[in-house]
Amino acid sequence: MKTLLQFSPGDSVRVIDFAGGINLRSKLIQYGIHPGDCLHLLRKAPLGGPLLVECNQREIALGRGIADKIIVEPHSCESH
Amino acid sequence: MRIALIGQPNCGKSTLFNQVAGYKAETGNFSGTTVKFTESKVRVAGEVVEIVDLPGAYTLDAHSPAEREAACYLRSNEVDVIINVVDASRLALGLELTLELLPLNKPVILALNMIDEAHRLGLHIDGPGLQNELGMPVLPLVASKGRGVKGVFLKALEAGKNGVKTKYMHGDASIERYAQARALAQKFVKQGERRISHRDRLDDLLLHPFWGYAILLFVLFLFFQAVYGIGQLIEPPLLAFFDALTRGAIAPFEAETLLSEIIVGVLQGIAAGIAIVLPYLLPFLFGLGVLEDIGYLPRVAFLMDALMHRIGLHGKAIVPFILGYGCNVPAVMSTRSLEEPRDRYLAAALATLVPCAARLAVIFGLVAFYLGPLAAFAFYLFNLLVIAVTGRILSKMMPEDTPGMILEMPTYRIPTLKNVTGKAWFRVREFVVEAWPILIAGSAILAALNFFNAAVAFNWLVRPLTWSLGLPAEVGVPLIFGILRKELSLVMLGQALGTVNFDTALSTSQMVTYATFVMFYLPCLATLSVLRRELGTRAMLAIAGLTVVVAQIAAWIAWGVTEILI
Repeated sequence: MKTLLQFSPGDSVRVIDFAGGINLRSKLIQYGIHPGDCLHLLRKAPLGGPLLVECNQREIALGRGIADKIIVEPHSCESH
Repeated sequence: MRIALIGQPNCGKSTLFNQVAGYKAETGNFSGTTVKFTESKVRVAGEVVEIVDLPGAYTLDAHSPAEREAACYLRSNEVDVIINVVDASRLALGLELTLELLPLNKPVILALNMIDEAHRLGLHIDGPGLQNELGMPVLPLVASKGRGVKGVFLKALEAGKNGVKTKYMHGDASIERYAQARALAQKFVKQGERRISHRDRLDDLLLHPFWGYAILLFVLFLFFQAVYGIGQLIEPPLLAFFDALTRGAIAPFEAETLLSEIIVGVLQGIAAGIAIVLPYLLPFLFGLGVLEDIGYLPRVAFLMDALMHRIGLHGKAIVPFILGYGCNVPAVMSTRSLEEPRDRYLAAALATLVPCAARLAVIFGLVAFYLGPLAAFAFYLFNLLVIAVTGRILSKMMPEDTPGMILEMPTYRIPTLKNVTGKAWFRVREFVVEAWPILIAGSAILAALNFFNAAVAFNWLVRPLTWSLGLPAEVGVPLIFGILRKELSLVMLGQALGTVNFDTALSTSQMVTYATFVMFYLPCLATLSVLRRELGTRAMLAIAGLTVVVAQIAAWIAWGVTEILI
């Protein structure tokens, strides 16, 4: 089982689940990230900085703590 | 009739409001800028209607205080018609909120905003089809250019009169709504050729691991240069004007009476407000508005996230710190955009330790003037160090319960003068209404106390403190008056010591100790009142106490270091 944090910029992944409580789950959904969605990892800031992902045509910055709680699998998503 | 505007952050809702209401609502390219409701009376087709701009909300399942307010208000009976603004280029997301509005049983108008941007992205939206499916009017809109604004409001008026309600079947759970919104978007949005945006290339540069930070430093440098430059141009003539006014006002009194002293106090309070607002706060808020509307602030948050984690916060909390260098008042206000109460508290506490423009005057007047610019620079570094250490200690005491930052990176937009000035005015008005009266009252009370020769009492009141720092008793009065307005700690020092050549009355280490203490101790009255409003009386007292402790320790360290170095 891999988390989003383990991937590199350029990778495409699909969200399987969130390894967190209801608070985290609803917060991610609020920003448009749902289980089953395709994420495109755009960049990773250095020195423990956040990740930038594209999801549903929005770009979302995610702190590493959050990225480590998003369980994903490699998946080649059709590009929007 | 009352029309409410609702939409997700960055959808252009406040821009629409500004188009009809004039300089009222704040619009920002950073979520959470509209925190209070803004209301305006507007004439539509000869009828006066009230328009309410609600805070941006992703969903009515509220999380941040701003969203909760919006949801509560919409459910109340005060709203007759809802205009739901969605970003046309992100219809699937916007429709989720639209579906949530349906159970409210109120007429809803769907305005597809930024339709021009959607076209640029190659999206074609079947508006009539969507209208039939949802059973609510769907209209195109380009709020920033004023296109389609009239049509939307006319439709809203019509819907409000007919009381048309929608009967579309909607899912209850958020997951269902999501699926439904996506299905709708898939059905009515056709993706054509996407034109390459400059955004990715700009982000490559602005978020670059090296150049990103270099540009950030440069942007902030320009920003502060501009703000201080304008401030130093405006402040001296303003203060000269108020000095003359004060002299004129007390001229009829032959000797110092209680009344004349109170008049002086009130005038000083008024002058303090104007001297804070006009020279520094206004340019600062204006500049911030520009950075905000361009969409640069979320990029700053992205760059600073890693660093902010070291002091127990995350990237979003950088805004209060940047603001703090201009004035702590907007800094504390801006902590509202943080979701967690713990983060708001911590960010507010640390932001009050940031030296504002007025404290900068003290550092320059004492340290840079007598000890050279290098020493002043060292003061800044020392300040950052103290904030970092305090942040670490505080975050250990208040363990983090959130995993970190989630933040949307909006597309870059060209700011409009109307938006930026409107927002700056909105924020300044908050200061004028909330903090200024307290400043004036406090100033009058201090003046009255001064008349009864309480100054000596002040000196003895804080004597334990000044004694422990090796400072003469006379600095007590400037320290207490500094709570009103920070530069008074420098202005009144001359009066208290009986000379403006501070080096004759104070030793080098005393000057350093005094300046260090002033840099950290108690935020000014205006900041205290905003702290109370944002976080409550207890938090205000706790933060005030904290700053005194920090100031005391920092001053001791500075004293010790100076003794060793000299």
